[in-house]
This record gives sequence, C-alpha cells and structure tokens, in this order.
Amino acid sequence: MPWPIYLALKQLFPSGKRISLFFVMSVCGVMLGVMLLVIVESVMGGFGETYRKKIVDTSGHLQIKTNGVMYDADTVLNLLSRQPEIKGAAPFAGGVVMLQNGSHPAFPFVRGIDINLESTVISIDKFLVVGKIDDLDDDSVFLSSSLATSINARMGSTVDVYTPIMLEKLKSDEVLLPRELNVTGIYQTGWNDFDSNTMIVTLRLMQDLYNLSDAVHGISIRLHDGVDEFKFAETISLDLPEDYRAVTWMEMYQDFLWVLQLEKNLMFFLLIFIVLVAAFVIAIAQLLTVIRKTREIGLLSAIGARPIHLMACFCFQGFFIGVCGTILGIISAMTALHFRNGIIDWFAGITGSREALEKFYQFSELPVHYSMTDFLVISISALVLSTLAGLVPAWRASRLNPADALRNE
Amino acid sequence: MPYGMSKDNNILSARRLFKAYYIGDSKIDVLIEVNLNIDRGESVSIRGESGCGKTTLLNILAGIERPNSGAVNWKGKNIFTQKPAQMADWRSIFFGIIFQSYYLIPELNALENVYMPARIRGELGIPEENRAHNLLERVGLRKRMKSSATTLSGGERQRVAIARALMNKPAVIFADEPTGNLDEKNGEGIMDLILDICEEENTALVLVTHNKKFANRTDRQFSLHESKLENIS
Ligand SMILES: Nc1ncnc2c1ncn2[C@@H]1O[C@H](COP(=O)(O)OP(=O)(O)O)[C@@H](O)[C@H]1O
Ligand SMILES: [Mg+2]
Repeated sequence: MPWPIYLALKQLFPSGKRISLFFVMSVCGVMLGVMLLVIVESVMGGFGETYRKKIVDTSGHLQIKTNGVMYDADTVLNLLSRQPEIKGAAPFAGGVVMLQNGSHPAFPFVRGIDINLESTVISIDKFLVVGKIDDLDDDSVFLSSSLATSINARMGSTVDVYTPIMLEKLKSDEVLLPRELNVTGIYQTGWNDFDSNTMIVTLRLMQDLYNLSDAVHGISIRLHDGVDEFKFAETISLDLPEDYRAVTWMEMYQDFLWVLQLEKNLMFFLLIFIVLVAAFVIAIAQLLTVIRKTREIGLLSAIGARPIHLMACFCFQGFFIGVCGTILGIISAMTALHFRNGIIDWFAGITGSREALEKFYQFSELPVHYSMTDFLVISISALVLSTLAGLVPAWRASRLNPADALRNE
Repeated sequence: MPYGMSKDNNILSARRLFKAYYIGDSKIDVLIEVNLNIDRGESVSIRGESGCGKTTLLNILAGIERPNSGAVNWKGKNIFTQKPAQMADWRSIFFGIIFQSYYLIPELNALENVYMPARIRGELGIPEENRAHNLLERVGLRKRMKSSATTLSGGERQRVAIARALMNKPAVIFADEPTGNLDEKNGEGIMDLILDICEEENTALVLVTHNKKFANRTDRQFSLHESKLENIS
C-alpha cells in the first residue's frame, strides 16, 4: 500500500486507539445527504414508474391517430394484425358528452370501445369494481368511480346522455331527446385521469352518439412483453398510410411526465446541497487536522515525504470519507425504504393524513423504484464533492515549509 | 576518528553558508560564512547558546531549509540545486533526523513509527521489517513495540525516534538537542545509545547539544558563537 493511503487510513483508524471523531462526524454528514437523496429519488422514481405503468394499462403502448376521424380502421387493423410484435389492437372513439342522473349533471369524457377487441389491449375487467365486461351493450354504460359518486349513480341507475350533435339538432328546432343508458358497471383504475371523470360505452353506441357511422378516432395497441415501444412506433409509422401516426404512451402524456421528471431533478438539485454542506464539514475538519498535525507534517517532510504524497495523504482522507458516507447513506436509505410502509403508517397515524395520501396519489403504498443511474449520479456527486473538500487542506499541507512546521511549537 | 581525514572520506561539506531571517524591516543574521566538513562515520558536536542558530544550521545541513547563499555538497554535488521532490528522496535515503521533541506520529504504534521511513522510501519487505524489530530491540523497547506512541514516556519516545532515524541506514544522523526534554539520567542513557549506535552502524553524527559533557564525547567539537562556527576541539 502506498504510504499516503496507509497513513491516511491510520489517521482515521489509529492503532490501538478509538476511531477519529472528526472522521465519524464527516462521514455522518455525507451519509445523511446521500441517504436523503437516495430516498427521495427512489420514491420519486417509484411514482414515475407507477404512473407509467398505469398509463400503459389504461391507454395501451401505442395509439394510431390521424387528423380528425379514421374512416378505414379495418384496413389499418388488418395491417396491424400482420405485425408479430403486436399482442392486440382495438379501435376506439372518444368525446365529451353531458350526463345527467336526476338533477346531477356531469360532463365526462366517453370512450367507445370494441367489446370483442378491447380486452386484448386494456383489461377493463380488471378495473371493474362491480359488473362484468359482458354486461356492456348498446344501451348500457360503465362509469368511473368518482363520476358515479359525483352524480350519485349506482348499479342499475338510468342516466341521460346528451351529445354535441343533439345541440346542433336543437338549433334547428328539433325535439331534444336524451339517450337513456343503464349503469351496468363501475370501474376504478388507480390512474386519476381515468377515474375522475370518464365513462365507457360500446363503440357502436359512441359512433351513433357522435354521428360517426363506421369511423373511429384511433386504434390502441398493446405490444408483447419486451418489445421496445418507441422503436416499434418508428418502424410501424413507415408502413402506415399517409397522415397516420403511431403515438406512444409517453407522447400522449408528455407534459405530465415531463413535470414528473422535472420534479425529480429539482429534488436532486435541492438535496445535493446537503452533500455540499457536508463537504464543507469535511473541509473544515480536515483543515483543523492539518493545523493540528503541522509538526507531524513537518516531520514527514523532513524524513523524506514528497509534497505531492503529503497532498495525496490528505486528499485521500476526503475521498475515503466520501466513500464511507456514500455506502452508509445508500445502505441506510435502502433500509428506511424497506420499512417505508411501517414508517408511513406511523407518520400518517400521528398526522391523520393517510386518506389524503391515498386520495391525492391514488396509491395506498409508497412506490419505490431503484435506478442504477440515480445511484451512480448520487454516488459520483458525493465522491467528487468530498474529494474536492479534502483538496484544500491537502494543498495547504503540501505547501508547509518543513523547517517552519517543525518550529511550530 | 581522528581529526583531518583524507578528502575521499568526506561525505558532507557546507561551504560559505549565510542565513538571515527578515522580520519586517529588521534583519537577523543567524549564520555568517559557516564552513563544515563531515567525514564518513565521524561524529561532530555543535554547541551554542539558545537562539544562536544551531537548529537553523542543522536544518540547512539536512536539506530541510535553504540558506541565503552558500552550498551544502553531498559527495561534491550541491543538494540545493535539486527540486523539492528530489530533495525529499535524498533526505529519505541518506539522512536520519532526531529532534528535541521526538515528533512521533501519534496514530501509529512504536513499530509502525520506526517502519515509516521505509514506507516513505518505498522499500517494504522482510529485511526492512526485521530491521525495524532489531532496532527497537537495540534501543531497549522490545516489549513496547505494539504500544501506541502516545502511551510511551519521553525517554521511550526518543528511543523510538532514534530507531526511526536509523531505519533507512542513513549515512548521517542529525540530532538536535536529543536530550533537551529529558531528565539527566534518561538523557545520559539516550546519549550513550546515540553515540554507540552510530559507531556500530558506522553512521556519521551531527549532534547539537547544550551539554559540554555530551559534546566532548564526539570526535570533533564546534561552537556556534555570534553567527560563526568555531572548532573548539
Ligand atoms: N522562521 C523564522 N523567522 C524568523 N526568525 C527565526 C525563524 N527561525 C528561527 N529564527 C530566529 O533565528 C534564531 C536562531 O534560531 P534557532 O536556529 O532555532 O536557534 P537555536 O536552535 O540555536 O536555539 C533565533 O533568534 C530565532 O528566533
Ligand atoms: Mg534549537
């Protein structure tokens, strides 16, 4: 072992004595910073992952879209059915209607689905709290849980639907008759966008309501596991007719996902300051050590230590503190995350915020996603900052004049 | 060894050393035209009042401090023409230094302190380990090898420092008032040890001391008086 590293380690772990308190304090600083960074980034990553999964579960991997309505969905579906990467594809039509249950109105987004094909893309059955997919026919409707609550509808209720087309008719003094639909199912996906204000009807009904005849608004696609949806979107776009696009789930929710990523990056930026403060702690502790050890540094120099090696000795201490702090930080963060549900229960218990947590985030458990990139970025930042912190005292140590240092009584 | 050795035997020679410290505008002359030759294996003592510049002279001879002018030649080559890193290597190979206040590294035990010069020189191995052991035994600390430097008494610390100075088999040992912090009895023991070991290892010794009795035991005696070095043997 080169002597600067040997001596650095000895100064941190002296022979036959207790471990240096400076070392413990400095490591704690780095550890706290790294721990917080790992926890926050992993939880934010967990939210991101959960949202991404929910988006794919409720929208499919891709959607084929065109400007306005799609008249030749069958041709496209035919083309898609020849792609081995595709597990399922289903046409859909969507739009806003007015819904009324007694005196309770709402303006939900309607999704018209092809009952035979839909389940190959989105398993609505899985999301149905009550009812079965087979219960959906041209005279019935599935409501999202929040929508059902807000218009006070339940299974078996009859709701009235008014469409924009009806308004057009109203202008030409025609009689306005709402479409009466039976509530035969209520669903909850866990994805707020869907649960708050949507309803599902058959594609045929939606085409009827919107006067679309045979046309649809798009085709949603689910790919086989392991297929890269972004690459596939590029290749399939080449085969599609002009004006048709394959839009990935990421593009559909681009803004939302961008904000999510921004939040995560901002948290990193804010929390890295804790590590920066820890770096100052290291710098001060090491500077004190250099001053305390002035005469020993003079001695080492007198018995033949090169200035650059003296510098390496103190610089290595900063680096080593960084290594210990980072490792301990990651370990303690992962331990805390492992027991997160207990911790959250306790926290929600004393603040009475469990319900708000579930309502806002739609998750009853705190999601966590460990990302190698996050770990690397956090570790490297912590190591670079601690080593830089050790550099200033190290430079001072190497610049000491041995004769003056030895006279320093 | 007798005074006036042949030129071939000379290893270290100081030529016309001048050293002054500047404090603000005032100038303190510490060394004025100091010349000194040291031969292989000989012992030399330097006496003088406190503050007369003995430590300064020793530091310059050992290449720790630079003179204002003059040269310290090692086998004919001025050591101050080298870069700091080379000078450090030089000190590590040829010189051993013993200070008044020991300067052991407190985080290391006795053996590790003695071994440190070998580490710095980059020569680690069984022979070096054996030498460190033997030196500690020689200075009478066989039982304290694993003791932390901070648990040793003053006399014991100076013994460790002596062993450390000898670790790399230096050609010259510089000892700056090695008994200055010790009581009379301990001091005598240490002085015997230094003189005997240097004799055994055929190492030249430059000894700075207040004590006339100790000084008289060296081959040649000098006195530093009013910035000049005089031979008084
Ligand atoms: N770095 C320095 N700056 C200014 N004066 C110094 C410095 N080092 C030593 N001196 C002065 O030089 C003189 C000689 O010091 P020193 O060599 O330590 O004497 P000695 O070892 O004989 O007691 C003293 O007067 C001391 O105050
Ligand atoms: Mg002195």
